[in-house]
Amino acid sequence: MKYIIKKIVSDIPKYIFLILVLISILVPIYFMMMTSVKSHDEYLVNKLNPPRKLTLENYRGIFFEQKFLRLMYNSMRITLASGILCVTVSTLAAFAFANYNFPLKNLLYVTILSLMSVPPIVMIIPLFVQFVQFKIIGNPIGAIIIYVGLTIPFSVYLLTSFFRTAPNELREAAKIDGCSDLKYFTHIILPLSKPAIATCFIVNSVWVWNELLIALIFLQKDELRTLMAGIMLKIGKFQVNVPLVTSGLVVASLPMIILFLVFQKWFIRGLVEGAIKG
Amino acid sequence: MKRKKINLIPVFFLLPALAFLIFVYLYPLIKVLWDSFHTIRGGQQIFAGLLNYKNVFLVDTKFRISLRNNGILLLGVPIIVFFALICAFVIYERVRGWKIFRTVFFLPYVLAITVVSIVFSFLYRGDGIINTILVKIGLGILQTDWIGNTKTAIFAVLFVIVWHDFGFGMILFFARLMSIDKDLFEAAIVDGANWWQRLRYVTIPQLKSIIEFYTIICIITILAWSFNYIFSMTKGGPGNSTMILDFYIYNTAFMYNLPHHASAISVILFIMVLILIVVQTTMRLRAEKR
Repeated sequence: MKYIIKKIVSDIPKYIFLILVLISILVPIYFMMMTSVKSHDEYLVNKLNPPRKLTLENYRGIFFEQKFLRLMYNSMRITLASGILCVTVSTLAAFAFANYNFPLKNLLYVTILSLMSVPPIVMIIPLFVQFVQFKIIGNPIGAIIIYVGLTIPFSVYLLTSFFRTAPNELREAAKIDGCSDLKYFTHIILPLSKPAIATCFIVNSVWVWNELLIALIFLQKDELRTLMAGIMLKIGKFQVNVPLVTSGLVVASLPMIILFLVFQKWFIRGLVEGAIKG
Repeated sequence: MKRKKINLIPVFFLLPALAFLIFVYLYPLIKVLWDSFHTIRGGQQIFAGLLNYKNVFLVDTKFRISLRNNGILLLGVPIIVFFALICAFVIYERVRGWKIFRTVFFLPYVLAITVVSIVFSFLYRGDGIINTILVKIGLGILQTDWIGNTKTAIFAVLFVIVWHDFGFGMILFFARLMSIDKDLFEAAIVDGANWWQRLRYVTIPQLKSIIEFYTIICIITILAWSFNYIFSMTKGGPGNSTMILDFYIYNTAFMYNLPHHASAISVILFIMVLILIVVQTTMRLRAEKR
C-alpha cells in the first residue's frame, strides 16, 4: 500500500508532463472536429467551446459538392494505382536482393536505400520538362510514375529485410523438390510475406494520399486534382467559412486515420523498420 | 580462362524497379546538374560555367534569406529529439494509460501536413483561439497574428513541425527501448538511481546510435521536406520571413520561370543532403556490422 502511494506520488510530475503534451496535441484536433459541426454563425461568436447546436450542414455541403467527390475519387485512384504498382515492382526487386548474389549487389542496395532521403524538389524541374515533352502533364500516369519511383527505396528496404528472414532450408527444400525460382517466389515467398507486403502498401498509401508538392505540379488540370491539392487551392474561396473548410479537412483525414487505427501495429512496425536501418 | 557466367535471373527481377529509379532519380539528378551549368541566351541554351552559382551566392539575397530561415527551422531538431526521448522514456516506464498516450502522440504524424497546416493557420489568426485564450488568461498583451507577423511567423511554423513530427521519434525510441534488457533498468532502480539518473546514465547511452540516427533524419526532413508547411501556411511570407530553400526552388522554377537558376539552387541543396546521407549510410553500415 505504502509502495503504491509512493509510486503514484513520484509519478505526478510525469503525469503533468504527459497531460500537457496531450493537451497541445489534442487542441488542434479538437478544434478541427468541433468546428466542423458548428454553423458559420455560431463559429463567429463561439470559437473555443463545444457547439451549442450541433449541425451536419457542413458535411452535407461537402458531400453534395460534386467537386469534392471528384477530388476524393482522384486521390483514391492515384493512391491505389501507385501503391499496387510500387508493391509489385519492389517485391520483385527485394526478392532479387534477398535470394541472389550478383556483382555490385551491396553497392546497389545501399544506393537505393540512400535515395530515400533525396528531396523530391531536386528532381522536379527536369521531370516537369520531360513530361511536357512527353505530353503526359495532363495525365495521371506521370504523377503515378513519380510516386512509384519515390516510394520504391523504402519498399525495397522493408521487403528485402523481411525476405531475408525466410530460412535458407526452405529454399533448399524447394530446390530439391524441383521448384523453379519463379515458383519458389510465387508459391512460397509471396504467401509468407503477406503482412510485410500489406505494411508496405499501407505506409506508402498514407504517404501518397497526404503528398502535396508533386500533386500540385503534375496534376494541374481541375479534373485531375487530388484531395490535398484541391483543398489547398480551393481554400482561398471558402476561407471566410471556417466550419465548412474544417469539415472538408476531417473528411480528407478520415480514411488515413481509420487505416492507421485499424493497422496501427503494422503501420508503426513498418515505419520503425524503415527508419532504424533505412 | 573460362568467363564466369552472369546469372541473369536477378537482373529480370530488378529491372522494373531500376527502370523507375533511373527515370525518377538518376536521369533528373544528372539533368539538373547539367542545367545548373547552362543558361538561356537569345532563345538558345548555352554553356554558362559557374555563372548560375555565382548569381546564387553573390547576387541572390532571397537565397541567403532562405538559408538563414532553414537554419532557424533546424532549431526544431533538438526540440523534437528531446521531446521524443522524454516521452518515450516516460511511456516506457509504464505509467497508467501509456497505450493511449502512445497512440495520441503519434496521431499527428498520420495527419496530412496540409490538413495540420490549415488548422494551425486558423488557430494562429488574429481572431483565432490562441489569441482568444491569451486574452482570457490575461496575457492579451501577447496577442498577435502569429503567422502574419514577420517576427513570429517562422517560429509559428517551427512549432507546427515539432507538433507533427515528434511522435515518430517517440515511437522509434520506444521500439528500441523495448528491445533493451529490462534488468538494466531494474538494476539501476535497485541501486537507487532516480528518474533523471536512469535517463542520463542508462537510457541515453543505450539509445545513442538510434538518437544519432534520428537526429540525421530530422535534419534532412527539416532541411529538404518542409515545402508542404510553407506552401500551406505562409507561402514564404510575410516579407520572405518564412522563405526556405525547397519552397524557393519551387518559386524560382515555376513562378519566376528561371529553371537554370533554380537548378543551381537544387544542386546546392542536393549536396547538403548528400553529405548527410553519407553520414547516415556510414552509421547504418557500422550498425549492421555490430
